[in-house]
Amino acid sequence: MMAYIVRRFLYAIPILIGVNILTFVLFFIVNTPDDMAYMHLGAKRVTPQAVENWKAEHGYDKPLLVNTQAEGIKCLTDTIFFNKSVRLFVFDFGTSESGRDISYDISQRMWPSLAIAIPVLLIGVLINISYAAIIVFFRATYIDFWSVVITVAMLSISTLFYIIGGQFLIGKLWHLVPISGYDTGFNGIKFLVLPVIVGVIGGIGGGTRWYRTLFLEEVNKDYARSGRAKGLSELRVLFRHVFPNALIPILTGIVAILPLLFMGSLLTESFFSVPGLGSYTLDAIQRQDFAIVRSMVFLGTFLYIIGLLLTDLSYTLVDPRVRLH
Amino acid sequence: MSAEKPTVSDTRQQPVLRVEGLLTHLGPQDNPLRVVDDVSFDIYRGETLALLGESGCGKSMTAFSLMRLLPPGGRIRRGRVVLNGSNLLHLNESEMRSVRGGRMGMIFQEPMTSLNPVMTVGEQIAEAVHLHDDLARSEVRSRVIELLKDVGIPAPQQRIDDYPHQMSGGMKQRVMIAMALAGKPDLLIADEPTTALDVTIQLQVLQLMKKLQREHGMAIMLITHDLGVVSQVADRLAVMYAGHLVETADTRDFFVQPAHPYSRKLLQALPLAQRRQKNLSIIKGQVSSLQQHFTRCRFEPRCDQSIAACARVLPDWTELSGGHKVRCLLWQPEYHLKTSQSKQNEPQQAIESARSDAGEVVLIANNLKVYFPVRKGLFKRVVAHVKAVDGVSLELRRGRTTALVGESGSGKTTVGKAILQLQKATAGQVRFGTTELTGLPAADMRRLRKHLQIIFQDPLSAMNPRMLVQDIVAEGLRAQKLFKSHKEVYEQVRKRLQQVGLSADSMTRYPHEFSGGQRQRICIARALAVEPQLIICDEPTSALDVSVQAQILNLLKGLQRQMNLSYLFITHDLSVVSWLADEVAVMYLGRIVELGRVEQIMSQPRHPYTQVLLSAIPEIDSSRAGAQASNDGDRRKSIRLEGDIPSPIDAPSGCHFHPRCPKALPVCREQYPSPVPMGERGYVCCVLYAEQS
Amino acid sequence: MPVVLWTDALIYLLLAAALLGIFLSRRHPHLSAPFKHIVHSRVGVASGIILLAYAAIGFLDTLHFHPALEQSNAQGEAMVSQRILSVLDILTDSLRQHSEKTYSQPFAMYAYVKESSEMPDGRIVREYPRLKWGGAHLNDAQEKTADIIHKSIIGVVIGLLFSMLCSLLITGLLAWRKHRTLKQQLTKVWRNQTELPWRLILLLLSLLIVMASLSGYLSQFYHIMGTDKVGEDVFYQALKSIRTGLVIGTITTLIMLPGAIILGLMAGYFRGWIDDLVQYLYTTLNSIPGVLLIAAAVLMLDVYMTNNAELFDSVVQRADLRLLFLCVILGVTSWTGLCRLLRAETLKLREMEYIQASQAFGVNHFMILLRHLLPNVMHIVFITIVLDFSGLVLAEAVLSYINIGVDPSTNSWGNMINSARLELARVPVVWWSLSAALVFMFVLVLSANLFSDVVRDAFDPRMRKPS
Repeated sequence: MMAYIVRRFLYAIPILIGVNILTFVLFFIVNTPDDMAYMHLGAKRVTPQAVENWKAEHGYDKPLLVNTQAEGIKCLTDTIFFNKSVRLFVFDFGTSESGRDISYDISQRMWPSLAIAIPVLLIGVLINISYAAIIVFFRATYIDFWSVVITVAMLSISTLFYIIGGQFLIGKLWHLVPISGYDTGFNGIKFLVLPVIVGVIGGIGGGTRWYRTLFLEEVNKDYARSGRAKGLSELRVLFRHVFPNALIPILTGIVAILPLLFMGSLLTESFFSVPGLGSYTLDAIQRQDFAIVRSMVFLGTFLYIIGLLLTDLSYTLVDPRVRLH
Repeated sequence: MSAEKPTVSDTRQQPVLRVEGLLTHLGPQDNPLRVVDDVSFDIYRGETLALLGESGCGKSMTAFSLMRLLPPGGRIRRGRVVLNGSNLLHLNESEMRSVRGGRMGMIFQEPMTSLNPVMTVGEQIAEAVHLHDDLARSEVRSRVIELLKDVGIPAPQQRIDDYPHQMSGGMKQRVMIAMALAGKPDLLIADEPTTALDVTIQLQVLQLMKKLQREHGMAIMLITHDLGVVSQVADRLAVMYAGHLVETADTRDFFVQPAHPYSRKLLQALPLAQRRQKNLSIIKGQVSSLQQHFTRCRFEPRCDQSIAACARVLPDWTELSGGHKVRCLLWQPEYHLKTSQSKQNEPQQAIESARSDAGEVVLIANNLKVYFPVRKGLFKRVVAHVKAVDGVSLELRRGRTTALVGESGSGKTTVGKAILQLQKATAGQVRFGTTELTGLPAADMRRLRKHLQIIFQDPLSAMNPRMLVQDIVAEGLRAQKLFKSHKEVYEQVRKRLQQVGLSADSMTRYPHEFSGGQRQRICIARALAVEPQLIICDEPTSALDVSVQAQILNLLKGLQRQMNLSYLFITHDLSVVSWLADEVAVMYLGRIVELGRVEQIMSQPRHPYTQVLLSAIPEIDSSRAGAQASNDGDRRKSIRLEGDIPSPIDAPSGCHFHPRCPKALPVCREQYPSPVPMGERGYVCCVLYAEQS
Repeated sequence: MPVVLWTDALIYLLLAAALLGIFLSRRHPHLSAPFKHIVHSRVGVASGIILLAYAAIGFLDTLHFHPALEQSNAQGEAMVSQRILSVLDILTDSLRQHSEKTYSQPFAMYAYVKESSEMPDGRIVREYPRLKWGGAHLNDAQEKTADIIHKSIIGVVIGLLFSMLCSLLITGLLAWRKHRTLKQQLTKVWRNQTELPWRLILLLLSLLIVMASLSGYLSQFYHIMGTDKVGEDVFYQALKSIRTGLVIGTITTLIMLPGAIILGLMAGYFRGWIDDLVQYLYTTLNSIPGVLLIAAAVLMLDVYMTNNAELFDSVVQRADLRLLFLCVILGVTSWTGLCRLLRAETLKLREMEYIQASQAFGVNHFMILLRHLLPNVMHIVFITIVLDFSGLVLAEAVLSYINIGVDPSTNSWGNMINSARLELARVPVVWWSLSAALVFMFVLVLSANLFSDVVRDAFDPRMRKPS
């Protein structure tokens, strides 16, 4: 088990290196720091001096990979590659283009993201599983048929519509909760209600449909037949035998995305003006703050890999057949 | 079989189960399949009734109808199912639930998938105990342990908390039986309970069922396609054909004198040593579609004794003797006259026998080893090897068949693949003619491949479902560039298909349009197309029904004579071996334990494992076998083998077989016995014979 | 003078591939059987027809050309404009030309905002000005309702006439092929006794024709979906957005398909270091959050395009290249899923005995991949194409909303929503732009989802009845 975890971490290293090289190529090779300076300084007629100043200010005035002027180890460390990419490995994100400390921002902004993402996930999964269970119990009836139609229709509606519609209906028309904003502590709850409701409803279509398929796949397996042959009622066959088996992929799937909850949701947070990591990323994209985008790419990758590892580990907990070594 | 068994006449009271005129439909309302059509039978207390039939004849559907557990689209249209006086078809669903698992238990063909993988076996049995036994919570566990002990699971206190995947197939089937016994049923329905198990394990499970039947006095309805299983455990049997019962009889009467032409054909299709000189009897044609409402005998189109009336009249039961009934016009008095005129047994085509002894050697495998590494730890170092094949030597001769016999995990299939270089051998040599195949450059090997071919167990998965038959058969011709033009290629394809008994119009069809036997013919044609010298037949008939198996075996034997082919015939079925093979090698856990001429092995098996395998062959032709029985000495006594087949990862020390061997000596534990020569070219690896030499 | 943009070329390629596919499937029953399943399913036929209607509009919008100018040059040769128009632009010429000043509600006669205007007597008043085109033929606001009803009836009647003609024509053709009289065939269709659900097909077709004629006729006189901030007709925008949605949904998959298939098959078949490499590739790409990868790539593209503006001849070409590049990026992020599926399936298939049988014949690896593996994983490819489609259409809207989608000058539902969202705070709300985009998108995605369900049932071997 330990050996497995260690090995998985070792596997993660080449992946992180790969991601880093990819972003480095994208940000510094495809476009030179000069290009970025021009972009940021706006007009085409900036003086070369202004470009140099901008580069020096943001640490882009060094050579890309090898600093021939520096001595010893500095030859490799005093470069853009080392300062902007290698340092990410120790979670040293540096400062954004606007001069703020990225690590500090991340530590501040991940909590609002979690405050929305966790309730959305939990309530959403609960509702989806219950709905799917009801559908499967009434399988091959009209309830099943119309539920499938409803979920497909819900699946076909753009997320944007759920957000805008929710804001319009609940916030603006019914004046139940504030349309957007954020606060800490108990005051924050009234701001969270709307984004959570919108998030849950937006996920019902896809979630329920998927769980229904998983449940239906198990319902006709041989062990369910054995249960019926034992004299178990259909309800008991479903709850005691079918669902525990179908829940294995569902649970491990949830575990896989748990770490990524930190990253927040881009759309929800920006629409509801929640100061989370999602809106942070979105702002960075729109302000073309490459330093933040680079950091978030690295962070996202890291969390994804943690998610993969957690998935494997959670299998050993819920599925007696899986043993890692 | 055994003395204590109540004889049939003792139990002529009220039957435990009486089924009358059962009619079950499957599929669309307007055009249903009549999967069970007017089936009636009784089962008495303490009796085992075998429902015998080939695949698709409606045996399982009958069982599911009794349990009222038909698959979606299945419905019972007519009939009565009376269990101890109450008609099950009138019960509501909740009453029926107390019958299922309570008065009527059921076990299934696939023990591997029939248990819930995420629940311990104890919990699964406890569920059944809870439902049907009014026990306190604390008593349940001890009752479960008791049940596990009853079905012969060693150390039940520990195994109770195991998950199904921690158990072998045989153990899982025992757990299934324990689950079915929890409700102390009056009737146990066993749907092909041993089909998925190895021969030695099959014997254990069948004997367990007989033991439990004696102890609990329950009735067993055994569904099977295997005449051997029937002969071993059934008291009475009912033969099912196309959704219909055609004959019921006491087992002994049936094997002495099967009455229905279909039953007779089934028995004649069995490959047996005494039929070696003859072609096996086959049944022509295919089962009629079950979508029709039959007004004639449904076997008539395939029957070679049919008379004109068979096509007009639906035959009714005729009682021949006590309890022996048949549904065939030939046995009804008004038609009886004609019967005697029609030939009872058409003379089977004799095969020329007594070939000149040893053929020239085509291929030699010498000390062949195939190891699979087992990796563990941080850096996945190789910590052990699975010795799938561990030093196998074989000589294959022109025009001869060598059989490689063994149970699952014995490495027999891996030997075949290693010979063909489809699996890289870890060590050892394979010499074809004068060429050493191991380590041969890929291009040279590619050229040699037309001499060495293979036929697989499952013909459907052995053919690309997206290709036309003509292209499947032509594949080898094209890869070997044997012909230049398309026309020549297809001409050869046509010729080969004709040779295996398929018409030219099958060329432009797809594999799924054919029946199982036809598919295997196509596979044989494909192998023949490149005119090989050696064909490795990897269980080519194991997935087929007896009557179809007979056709394929006849074909293989015929082709061997025509083309002077060598076969390496890989199988677990010794009765096929006794009919087809010239030489037999018995494998156990990667090694050959005994090798010799077929007559010698079949009549005088030396290795205890070979003896066990042989004892598992059912005694079928009791009338004729009776004379031989005395000669065979004690080999017909069924020897029961304890324990499961060990995994080749940790093969037992010394002789691999010693933990299960009924004749094991202390020395067996220490070192692997060296081969003791027996007869010409034969040997046995057992210390019991070491002193003799 | 025709113009072929990059995405046009790829659409033609896609069409050619589809035609080839249809041609091949007529010869191979394993391909035509699922196709038959689809056309026999009512849901499949209904959603398929709607998809085809969308595709037809998208295709008309793909035939691009430089319009000829009225005047000729000094030598008397005809001159072509540098502008690029599509056939759809010509068909909807009036919609395109009828541009107002700013917002107006659907079927409005007056603008949405008050404007100062000078009266003939010199006074300056603030009032809702009359629209230049919308309802311009009316004298009085009182007439409007009656006029709309009147014009709707005309539109519907024209549509009904056309659809009846169409239905008769199709039934006639059917009758001719089946050697029946027209009357027999009509009864059969009416009673739904035909092999294919022709009654449903004809009804749907009629409905579409009536809707087209109704909206086409009304839009000559009104802005049936209002106008946007710069006074452009929203109905026109929504129609033009169809091509963008379809391009994103199909070209993306087309671009990633070859790579995903080749790598997936090779990884599964050869295993060993090739497998390790492919797995490493897709795990790495997969581990980057998709939106961020797209954002990073698009941001870099922006920088590049801003600094190299001279490379692009026209706004349309620039926007087209950006659309293409977006497809490529989306392809890069979405090939991993298909590749992993194909690898897993190939791993399973390579153990099948027919693969071993061909190895025993000495068939070379390339032929095994081509003749045995590829045909047996094609169903996964088809299912992925249709399943991905709706997700990609929805993704376009979200990405455009974040400003990392298509060029702002390209008509797309995402851009429509994006520009409309700023006006949501207005009282009363400017709802029509948003709703039009969402409804157009919903109908397309819903049909695609329903269609993909049918396609999956048709291709998935698990769903197929055992033979």
